[in-house]
Amino acid sequence: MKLYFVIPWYGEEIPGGAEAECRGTAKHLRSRGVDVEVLTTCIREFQSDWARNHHRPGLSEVGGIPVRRFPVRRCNKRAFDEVNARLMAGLPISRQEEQVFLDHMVLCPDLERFIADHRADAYFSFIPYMFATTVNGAKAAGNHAIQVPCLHDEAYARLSIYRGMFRKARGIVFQTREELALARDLYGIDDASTAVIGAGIELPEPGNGAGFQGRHGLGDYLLFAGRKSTGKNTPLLVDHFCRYVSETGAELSLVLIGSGNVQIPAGFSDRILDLGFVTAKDKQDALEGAIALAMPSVNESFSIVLMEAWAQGSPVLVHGACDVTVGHCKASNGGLWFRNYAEFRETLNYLVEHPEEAARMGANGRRYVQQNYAWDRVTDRWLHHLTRWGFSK
Amino acid sequence: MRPDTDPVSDLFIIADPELDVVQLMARLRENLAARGEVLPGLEPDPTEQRLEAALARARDTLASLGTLEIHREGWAGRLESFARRLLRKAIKPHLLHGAASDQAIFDLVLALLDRQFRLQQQYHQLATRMAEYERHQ
Repeated sequence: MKLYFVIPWYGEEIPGGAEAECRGTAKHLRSRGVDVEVLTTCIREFQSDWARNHHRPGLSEVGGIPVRRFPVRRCNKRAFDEVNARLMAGLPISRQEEQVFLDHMVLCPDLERFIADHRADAYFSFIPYMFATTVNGAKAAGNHAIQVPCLHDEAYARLSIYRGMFRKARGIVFQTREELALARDLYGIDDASTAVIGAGIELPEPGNGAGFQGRHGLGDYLLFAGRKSTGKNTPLLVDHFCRYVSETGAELSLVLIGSGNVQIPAGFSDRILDLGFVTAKDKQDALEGAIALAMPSVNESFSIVLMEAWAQGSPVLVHGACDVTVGHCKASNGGLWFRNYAEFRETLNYLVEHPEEAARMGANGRRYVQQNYAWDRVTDRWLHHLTRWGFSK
Repeated sequence: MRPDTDPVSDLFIIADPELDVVQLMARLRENLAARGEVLPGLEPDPTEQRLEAALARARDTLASLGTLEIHREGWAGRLESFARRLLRKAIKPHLLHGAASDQAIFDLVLALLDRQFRLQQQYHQLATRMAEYERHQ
């Protein structure tokens, strides 16, 4: 049997968690003998025009994986944007508007036809849940559809168009227990179709934190790694950190790495170091040397960066309103969480003043990552559940 | 240490007999409660974080109110600046109306910030009094 991954756009350099998961899973399943192919559109990436064919249609190879692209057709972008704006504002929409949302998002009838023509001897793994390639493709795949939703608690997830799709899926692959719990609440899905597999990570070489500190003239530091934005709660972290330093007089810096911008309050430019993009090696060094990785986002579906910090043996400090990251901390015994400034100060103080316990949390986190999210473990679970759902190599 | 398996999934959980972060968090929260910084036994309000994020967004937006960035340099930049000035003149009445709306939003945000600050003060006073009351029991 063949296993197709169906995703709206595909490429080696495309950013995004779902895209990275698709690339990694396809690659590792292929290395274990599964006949894998990616089905996608000719759209370049998420940020591009979803009605523009950037790539040529047809079969090619990307990073050793066969990729078959199908052209998209023009759709009513304005109608889609109007409904999408209502959804993003948290306003209710009608059944008819749901259909407009689906019909004018990504139009790719050739892809749906291909799936319908090949479903007898293949399974189709759709990622992520929201796109028309997934909803329409799953209809074409019938009972050979496996969903990899990358589900968030957001307005889109509550649309009725997804309820039937999840209930009819042969299998649903979740990244975390919390994502599974959300899907159970929203769609009332059957346990037989679900599996918590997680996302795989490449276990990195040990970083050199002392070298990173030396290069940047740093003492002890708290690290934020990722996109700096309000959505990721970076301003909140900066605010809490500045209050912490002012109140406690602690000799601690905050290092920020990644894209985006955040306003650094006057008087703190010597305590907050925004390095922007750094090399992969620098990132590993920064993670290894940090007192802790701070992840203040409340909207994470997995959080690869937490795994990267733990892989380097560093503890983490996450926001208590994010079920997923708190769930990881509890399951790993690898980090603490805060829900307000008082808790931020208390937890950060603990990590600073108890280096042995902090190191123990980091070591626990490393075991958690090695035992759950190393690619061979993730691939084993994929193969186990594919077989459970009737797929055979 | 042998890893345990989570009953909901087949993922491993790391049990550490010497360090349980759930117990540690409970202890840290007890410390805060004893100092009157949070109400004992009460989970922090989850809407507080949403309010803080919304206020941060409002602050960001208002900080860049009316900013017109010209990225081009030389004659192209001067031409763009001139064209924009002309356009602004033409649409000045609408801009003034927009500015009045922005000011109203700004005042609302300030009022919300002030309200939040006062509520936090009341909250801390109440927490302190409750902690004192419990100590005297």
